[in-house]
Amino acid sequence: MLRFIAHRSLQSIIVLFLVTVIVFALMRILPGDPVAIIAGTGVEGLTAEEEARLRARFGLDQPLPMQYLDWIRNVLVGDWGISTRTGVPVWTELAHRAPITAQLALTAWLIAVLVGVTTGVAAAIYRRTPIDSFSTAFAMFGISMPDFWLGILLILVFSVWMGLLPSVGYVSPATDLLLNLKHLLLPALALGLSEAAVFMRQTRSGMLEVLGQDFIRVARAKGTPERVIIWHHTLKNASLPIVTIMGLRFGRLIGGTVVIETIFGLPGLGRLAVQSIVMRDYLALQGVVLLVALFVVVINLITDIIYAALDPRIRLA
Amino acid sequence: MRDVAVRLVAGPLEIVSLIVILLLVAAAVAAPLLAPFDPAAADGFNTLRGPSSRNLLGTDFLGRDVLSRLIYGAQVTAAVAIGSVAISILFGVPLGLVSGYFKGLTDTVIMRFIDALYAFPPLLLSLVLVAMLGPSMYNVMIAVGVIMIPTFCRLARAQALVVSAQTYVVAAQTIGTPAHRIILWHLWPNIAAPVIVQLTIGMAWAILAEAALSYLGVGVRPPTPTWGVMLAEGFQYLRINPWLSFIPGMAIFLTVFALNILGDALRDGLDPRLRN
Repeated sequence: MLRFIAHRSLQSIIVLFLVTVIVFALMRILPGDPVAIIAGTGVEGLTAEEEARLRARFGLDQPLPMQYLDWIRNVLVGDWGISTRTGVPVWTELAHRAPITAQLALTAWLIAVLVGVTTGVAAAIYRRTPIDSFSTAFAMFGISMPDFWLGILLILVFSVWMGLLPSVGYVSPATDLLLNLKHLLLPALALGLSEAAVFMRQTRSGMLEVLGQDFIRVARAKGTPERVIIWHHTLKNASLPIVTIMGLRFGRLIGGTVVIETIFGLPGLGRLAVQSIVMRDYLALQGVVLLVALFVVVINLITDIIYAALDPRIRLA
Repeated sequence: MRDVAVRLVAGPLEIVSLIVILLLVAAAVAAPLLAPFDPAAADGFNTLRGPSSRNLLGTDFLGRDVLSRLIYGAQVTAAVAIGSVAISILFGVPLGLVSGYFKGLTDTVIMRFIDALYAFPPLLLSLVLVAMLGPSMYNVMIAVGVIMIPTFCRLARAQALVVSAQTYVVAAQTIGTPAHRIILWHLWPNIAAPVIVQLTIGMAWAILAEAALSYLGVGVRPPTPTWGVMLAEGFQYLRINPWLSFIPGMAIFLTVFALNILGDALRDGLDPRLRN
């Protein structure tokens, strides 16, 4: 197991290195002069001397590999630059916004797990019945439904027509937990129901595969109660790929909140990314992209390790 | 091929899906002939109206005909779906084939790079790429295409690994057939089926991504009518006229739904194990 963890961690470190290279390269290809981007000023009004001084100050007169090393050193010590839009250090901005996105993604993920696994299990147990047809149709709807459109429809029904839940804004859970949950429910539903479709499909196919195996037939022949067969034998054996999908999709959810945060006015990382693009605040944008990508790599690593811990065939492969 | 055709018209859902896609193509190709009005023609005396005999789907906040904008919007939707998938296949499949055939260091280098690309959440990366390239339809195609490269690359690689272990490929290697010939003549035809299935799913994803980017205001810019832009503009008037958000959203949903249904049908038709 330790060998597997070491090997997989090494792979993740290589991927992390490549992620930083891609982010660094994107930053250098962005339109506009890097001096203007980093300093947050235009270069038009500067004399050649001032521009050269700024270039030297930000290390832009160095060769690209040196610039990369400088940048990565700063990233490692938490110096992610200053947001040109707010004047606040990017790291501080990210630290304020990341919990909002994390809470939204986690709530959406929980909704997806609850709805997806329940409907998936029901569809597999009651195969070729109206329950199966309904669940399969629900999954197809969920996969095809744009989450931002679902968000708009939820606002229309629950905020505009019924006046039950707020449509925009955010309240910290420390201020008022109930109001916080009220603000998060609709965006989390919009995100979670699309994800639930993915979990439902995976659960259904995994369950059906296990239900068709010989040991289930033997258990049935021995007179084992159906409840035990479903929960102890089938779901347990079908759960490995489901757990993997759940882990991988959580990482994706963190980066998938962009449009939903914009629609519901949630001040999370996704909204920060959009605002940064509009205001050409490239350091903040770089921060969001880097943070989210690092998070995805770490989540994927943890998922793989859990998978290997649960299934010896993976770590011995 | 017959199996595939049979699957594509196997049930009412598949037939409806085919009709939806044919309607989209027709709208995209013949928009000037089909649209009753100029999609950019504003009418200040006829704004935010519901459906009527003159404007079948009503008018928007500038008095523009929603049906005409929807029909013209299909052009962008179809172009981005086809263009972005073409880009991802053009780069993703050859990379995957080379990676899966040569294995070893080539495979490691290519796949680690693909893994790194895969670490970026798709919509976030496409957002950055469009910001980098500038908002236009072609740049949206590139941005969405690039983020789908890892999917096609991984798919092609997995298939290439299986096919390259087959006896006929080993035989071809033994008699000294050059690698490029083996990849082109033996590997590619044998992995085409799953790529075709992924193509439809990729198109569905591209349509969602384009709509999201346009919605956020970084994709195709107004006044060009796109379904994402229409949705964003309609959202501003949700309380007065929910119809404006409902129609473009429904168009996106129906198209993506139809592509997903056809993708499933194609998979069933092309997979010999599922044919019977």
